[in-house]
Amino acid sequence: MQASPPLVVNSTRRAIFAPVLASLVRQRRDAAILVGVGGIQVGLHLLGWPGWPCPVHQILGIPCPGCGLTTAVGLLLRGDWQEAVSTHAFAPVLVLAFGLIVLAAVLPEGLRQRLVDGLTRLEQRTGISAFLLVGLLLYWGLRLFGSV
Amino acid sequence: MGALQIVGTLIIWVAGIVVLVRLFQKEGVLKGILGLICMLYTFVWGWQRVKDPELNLKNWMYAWTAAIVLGMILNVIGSSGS
Repeated sequence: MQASPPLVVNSTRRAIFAPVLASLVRQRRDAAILVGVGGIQVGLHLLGWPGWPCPVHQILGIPCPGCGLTTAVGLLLRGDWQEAVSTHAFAPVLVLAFGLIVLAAVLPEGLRQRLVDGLTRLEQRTGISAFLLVGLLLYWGLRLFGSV
Repeated sequence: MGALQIVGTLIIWVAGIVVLVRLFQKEGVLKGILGLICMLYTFVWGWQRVKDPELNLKNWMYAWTAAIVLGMILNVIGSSGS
């Protein structure tokens, strides 16, 4: 008889492989709100206007893990890939995720549901969201200490 | 204006941390990290759950939003004055 894995292992695995992006876009309304807010933030930046003030940077004077992403996405949209990636290496990932959120907001219901189901399966099987989020934190640490 | 700016910044900080902690508690570690990486997401999440009585975020979200608007107004006044 095979022994079942301990409870702690199971709950850790569940936490790591929990769908993040899929849960953000499960409701069309939520996806639309994220598209609107993200669009406004990037739009303001492209117009040269001040956007969302980062509380971490404002108070501690150090960049947060996401600082520079809006600038990098702006550079990507202008086609300046090299500069974008050197500003923030995760900009292409954010653009890809944002593209999926846009699709989840605009696709007809049948296709939308298939997209959400596909994303859920992908995240549950690979844990890609956890790896990307932890990778972003590590990248932040490297940036803070001047290695990147 | 300096004192107002300090008060506004403190409110943004405290309200942001409170909402982020609730995000961690309610949605788990991964979404919590997402909220830490992108406080704008934390802000949107807070407004989406503002009516949830269990989370009790209403006053914090009003305070956070008011402090952001105050900061923007002070920025505009500051930049037009200089």
